[in-house]
Amino acid sequence: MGRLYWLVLFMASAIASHAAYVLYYPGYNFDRKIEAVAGAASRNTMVVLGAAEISKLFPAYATSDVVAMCRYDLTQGPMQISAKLPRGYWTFSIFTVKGRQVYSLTDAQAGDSSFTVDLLQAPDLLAKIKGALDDGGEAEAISDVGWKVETPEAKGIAVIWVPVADPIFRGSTLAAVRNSACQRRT
Amino acid sequence: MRGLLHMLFAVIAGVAAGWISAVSMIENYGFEAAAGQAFWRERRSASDHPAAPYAFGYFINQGEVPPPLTSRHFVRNSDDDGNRLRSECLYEISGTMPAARRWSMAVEGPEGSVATLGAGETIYEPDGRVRIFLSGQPVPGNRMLITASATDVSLTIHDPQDSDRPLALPGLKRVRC
Repeated sequence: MGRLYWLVLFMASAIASHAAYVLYYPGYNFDRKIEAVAGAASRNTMVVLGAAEISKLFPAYATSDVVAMCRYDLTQGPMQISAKLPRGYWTFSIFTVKGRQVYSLTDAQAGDSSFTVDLLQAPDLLAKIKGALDDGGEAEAISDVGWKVETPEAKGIAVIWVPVADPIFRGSTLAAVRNSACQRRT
Repeated sequence: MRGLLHMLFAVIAGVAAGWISAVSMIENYGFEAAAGQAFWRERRSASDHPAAPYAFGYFINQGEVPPPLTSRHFVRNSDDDGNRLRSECLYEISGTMPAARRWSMAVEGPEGSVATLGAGETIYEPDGRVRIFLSGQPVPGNRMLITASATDVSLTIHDPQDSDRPLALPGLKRVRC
């Protein structure tokens, strides 16, 4: 009986530390590492990354591509991300602070070269119940927007990726992506 | 007193076992052997797959953003003979890329990519095939740098025509050392 007790204690400790390392630690680690590369000024603003930053952060993209990133923080309220991109292939992705992708948009899905996405934190159960009881509220106030994304985490990153079809187009692509915005929704 | 020591030992041993198993599973369980490929391994990409947290964790623990779910991401660290890639050798990646909107390739090290190549900057053969050399020395044509600490090759197929079927990927052979 005594040995079973120690075994159960051992197993419980193992499961707890395993789950903590896989599910919770990445969230703390990821944001810190992204900030170390992109800089503290990348919070709530769209930043076009250089080749060195792309090579450190994005294993799936070539350094010749144009990549812009916004480290969003929804604790102060919803954000709005808008862009007008060149015609051709591009993707827009939203990741939570734990690295889980919660939203994806491509030029084919958008059907247009520009988009505006409202980003807000998904309400927890209590807020959902309260919202159902209230008449109106924040969720209703932004219902007129075409695209609305709710993320389970308050922090994360939004990424615009435009692969450059030919190096000659890099300058114009870069200029278009620089006009993208990531700002608090007023 | 003895009981307290036993408890402490059980907890410390359990935490260590849980941590080691998590690190090991993140390193290995987030990828699976690519169907029909001897040496390419594919990232498990479905977000509802039980292994998804391990697949995300693989990138996040290195401070990298996981590839988007609309892409298929493959990695390898050996040539077609099964030998581990070495920086003093010259390798050739050749073949036809799968039908997709875009592809990109990288040589990965502990600090991120040391070299990347995108579909738009690649010189293609007249028949549409690609020939890319991996080398520590300059080589004519498409070339990606390989270093002693960076010998993992990754290939990302963005928006592939076949999103869930096996893809025919290029081979990687050693030319000389």
